[in-house]
Amino acid sequence: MRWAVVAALAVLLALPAVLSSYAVTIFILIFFYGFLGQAWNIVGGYAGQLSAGHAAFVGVGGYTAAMLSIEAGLTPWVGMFVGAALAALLGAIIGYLGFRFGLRGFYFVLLTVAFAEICRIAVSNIDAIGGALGLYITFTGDPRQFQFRDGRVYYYIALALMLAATATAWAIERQRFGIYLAAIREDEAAAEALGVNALKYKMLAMVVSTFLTGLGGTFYAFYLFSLQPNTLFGIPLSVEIIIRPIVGGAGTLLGPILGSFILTPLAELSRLYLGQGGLHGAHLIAYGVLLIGVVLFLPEGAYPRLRRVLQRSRLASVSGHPRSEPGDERSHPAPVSGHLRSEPGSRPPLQKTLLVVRGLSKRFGGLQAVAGLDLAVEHGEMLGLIGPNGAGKTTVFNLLSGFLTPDAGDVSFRDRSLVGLPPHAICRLGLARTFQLVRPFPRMSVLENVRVGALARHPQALEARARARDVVERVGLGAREHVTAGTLTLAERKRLELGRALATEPTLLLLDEVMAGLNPTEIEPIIRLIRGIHASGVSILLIEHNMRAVMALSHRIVVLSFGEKIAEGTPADIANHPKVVEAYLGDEYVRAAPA
Amino acid sequence: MDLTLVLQGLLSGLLFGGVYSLMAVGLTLIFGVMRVVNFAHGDMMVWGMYLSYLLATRAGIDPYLSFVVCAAALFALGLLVQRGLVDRVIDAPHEMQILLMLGVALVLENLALVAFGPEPTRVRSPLGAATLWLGPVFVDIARLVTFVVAVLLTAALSLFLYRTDLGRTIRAAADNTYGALVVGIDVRRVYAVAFGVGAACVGAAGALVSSILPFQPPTGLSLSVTSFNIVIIGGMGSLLGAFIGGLLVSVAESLGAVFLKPSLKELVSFSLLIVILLFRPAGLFGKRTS
Repeated sequence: MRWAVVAALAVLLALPAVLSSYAVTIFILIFFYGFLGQAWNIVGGYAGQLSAGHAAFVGVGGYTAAMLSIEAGLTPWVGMFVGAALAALLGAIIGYLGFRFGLRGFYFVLLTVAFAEICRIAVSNIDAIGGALGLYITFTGDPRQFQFRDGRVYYYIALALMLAATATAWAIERQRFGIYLAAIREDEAAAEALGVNALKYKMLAMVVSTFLTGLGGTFYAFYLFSLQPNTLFGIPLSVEIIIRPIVGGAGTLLGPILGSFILTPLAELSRLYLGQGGLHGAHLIAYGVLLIGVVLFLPEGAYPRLRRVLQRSRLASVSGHPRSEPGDERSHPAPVSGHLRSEPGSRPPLQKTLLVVRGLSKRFGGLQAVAGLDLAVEHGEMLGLIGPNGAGKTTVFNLLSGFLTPDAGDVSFRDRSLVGLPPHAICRLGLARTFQLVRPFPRMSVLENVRVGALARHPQALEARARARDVVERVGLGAREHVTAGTLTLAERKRLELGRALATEPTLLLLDEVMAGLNPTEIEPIIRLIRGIHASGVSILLIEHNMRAVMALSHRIVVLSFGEKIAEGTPADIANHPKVVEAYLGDEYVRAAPA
Repeated sequence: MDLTLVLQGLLSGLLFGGVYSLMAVGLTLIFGVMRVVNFAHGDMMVWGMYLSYLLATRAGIDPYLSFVVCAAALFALGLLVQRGLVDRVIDAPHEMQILLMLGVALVLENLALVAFGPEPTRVRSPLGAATLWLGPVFVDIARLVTFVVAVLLTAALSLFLYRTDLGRTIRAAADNTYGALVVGIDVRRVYAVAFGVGAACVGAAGALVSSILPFQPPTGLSLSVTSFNIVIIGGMGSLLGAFIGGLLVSVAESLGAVFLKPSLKELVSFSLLIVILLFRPAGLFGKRTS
C-alpha cells in the first residue's frame, strides 16, 4: 500500500512533463475537485452531516482573497488564509445553528442551502463587490499575485491542495477525532453516552472542512480570473462538490479522489464533445444517472468496493499466510496490569454515598413519569430498580445520565450535581449507562465499538484500542472482535452494550435490562459477568425484569410504580412486601393470598 | 412608500400564492406519506410547463385547458419514479434518498435543457393580456384564473384524501405504515399513487403558471427550493400548512420585491426559513416531534 502511494505520487509529479496543455487542465480540475470533495468529506462523509451549501465557502474564500488583492493589493498567498478563516467563521456559525438546534438530515441540508442562497443573493446585490456581474481579475502573470503563465504551476498547486486535504483527513481518521466522528455518524445519542461531546466534534469537523473549502476559493478565483455569484455560490457548484466523494465513497480517505478521477474527465469530455453539439446539459444528465446508479447499486461508493476486490485478490495470492494487519496488538501481548481497578475479592472501602437523588420529578404532558423520587447508591453497592412496565424506570436512567432534564429535584454524584450536564460530561465524571434497546454502531466492528468508550479515558487511539481489547475479552466477545456489530445476535449485542459502557471505566454503571430477551442459558453468564464487574470495584444500578437475577444480584432493591417509590429494602423484604405484590399482580391477588 | 404599491404587491402575491400552495401541497403529500423529500419537485414542475408549451404551440391548446393533460402526464412520471427508483430506497437512510432524488432532479433538469435549450420561454394565452381594475389596483386576469384553479385543485385534493376510500388509505399509510400493512393495505400501491398525485400537483401548477412566469430549465431548482421553504415553514407533512405557507411565502416575496428590490425578494423567504428552522422546526402547522 505504501509503495503504491509513493509510486502514484511519483507518476503525478512527473506527468506534466509529458502531458499536453489540455490534459494538464483536466488534471488540474481533477485535483481541484478532489480537493473540494475531500474538504467536504470531513464534515459530510466522516461526520455524516450532509452540507449541500459548500459552494458558499468557496465563494467567501474566493471573494475575500480577490477583493483584498484588488482593493488593498494584498497578495493572495496571504489573502487565501484570510478568506479561508472567514469561510471557517461562516461555517462555524452555520454549524453552530444547525447542531445546537438539532437539525438533522433534510433539515440540515436545507439550512446549508438557505445560507448559501442568502450569500449568493446578497453578493449579487452588493455593487461594491461586483454585484450580479461579478469580479474580474486582470492577468499579470505575476507569481506573487498567484498568477502563472505556465499552467503546470497550477497543476502542482492543485495537487498540493488535494494532498494537503487528504493528509488532513488521514490525520483525523487515525485519531480520536476521526473515531468520534464515525461514532457520531452512526448513532449520536449512543456516542454521547460514551463520553463523546458531539457538538464539539461536529463543530470542529465543520470548521476544518470549511477552512479548506475556503482555501479552494482563492485557487478558483486566481485560476479562472473571474468570480460570478451564481457560479461561485450557486447550488450547482455545491452539487459538484458533493457528488465526487459520494460516488467515490463518502467517509473514506481515497473516495473523494477516486470520485474525482472518475467524474471530472467524464464531465470535461462530455462538455467538450456533447456541449459543442448544442447538448449543454449532457454531462449533468450523466451525473444524475451516475448518482442514481451509485445510490441503487453501490451505496457505499466505489472506493470501498474497489478495496474489497483488491483485498480478495491479494488474499488469494498469499493464501496460507495470514498476516496480522499493521497495528494489530495481538502480535505483542497487551498489558495485563491495566485492568479496571481490579482488586479481586477485596471489598471496596465504604466511603460517602456515591449517588444521591432527591425529589427527582419529570412530567411528559399529562403523564407524571417520575414523582419526587429519592434514591441513594452507596460506594460498592449493587442496587436493583424494579417496577411494572411504565413505572418510570428508564426515565430515571435518562434523567440520571443527562438525556433528560428533570423538572425538579437534584442528582448528586460524588458530591457534584449532575443536573443540566450533557450526557458526555456525565459519562466522563464516571457514570456510564447502557440502553435498553441496544444501540451498537452498526457498521463498526465490535472492537471499534468498544474503543469509542475507551477513548473517554485514553485519548491515544492505540492505547484505547489495547484497553478496548481487554474489555472485549472480558465481556466474552474476544472471538468476535472483528465482526461488524450490525451482524451480532441479540445476546452478543447486549454484551457489546455492556462492554462499551464498561470501557469508559465508570465508577457507577447503570444497566437497563441487559438480560431482557435472552434465554436462561444466555442469562447465567451475564449474571456472572455483572458479578465480576461489581467485584472489580464498579457500583451498579440495575433495571431488570428478571426477578431471579435481580434478587440474586442486588444488595438492596427500590420499587417504582407510576413514577413513585413504593418500597425499598433487601431482596427478601421486597419479595414479601404487600405493596410490591399489589403493584405487580393487582390488589385482588393480595386479598386472595393467604395472610 | 406608496400605499397603492403595497396593496398591489399584496394582491399579486396572494394570487400567485395559489400556485405555490398547489406545488407545496404536492411536496408535502409525498413527504407525509413516505418520508421522502422530492428534490426533483421543481424540475417536474418545469416539465409541466414545457408540456403545456408544447401543447399550446403544437396543438393550440390553451394552458388553462391543458393543465389537466399535464397533471395526468406528471402523475404517470411520478408513478414511474416511485416504482422504479424511490421504492428501492424506501428503507434506506435519508441521505441516500436525498441523493437519489438529487440524481433524478439533475436528469430531469438537463433533459429539459437538451430538449428545449437555455432560453427563457413563456406560453401565450388570450387571458395573458386581460386586466381588471379594482379601484387603484389592477387584477391580472391570468393570475386570478390561476389562483382560482389552483385553489379548487387543492380543495379537490383534500376532498379526495378525506372523503374517498383510496384517500383514507393514503392517510392511513401516512399515519402508520406498519399499522396499514397489518390491516392489509397495499402500501406499495399507496406510495406509488401518492407520489403520482404529488407530481400531478406540480404538473397542473406548471401549466397554470406557464403563461405568467417566464421559465427555463434552471427554474426547476429555484422552484424546488421554494417548495422546500414553504413546506418547512408550513410544517412538513401538513396539507393545511403547505396551503397557507404557499400564500404566505408568495406574499412575503411579493412585498419583499416592493420594499427591497426585486432581486432581493428571495432573501425574505430564506430568512423566514432560517428563523422557522431554528425556532419552530415543526413549522407553523406541523405536529411537534423531536
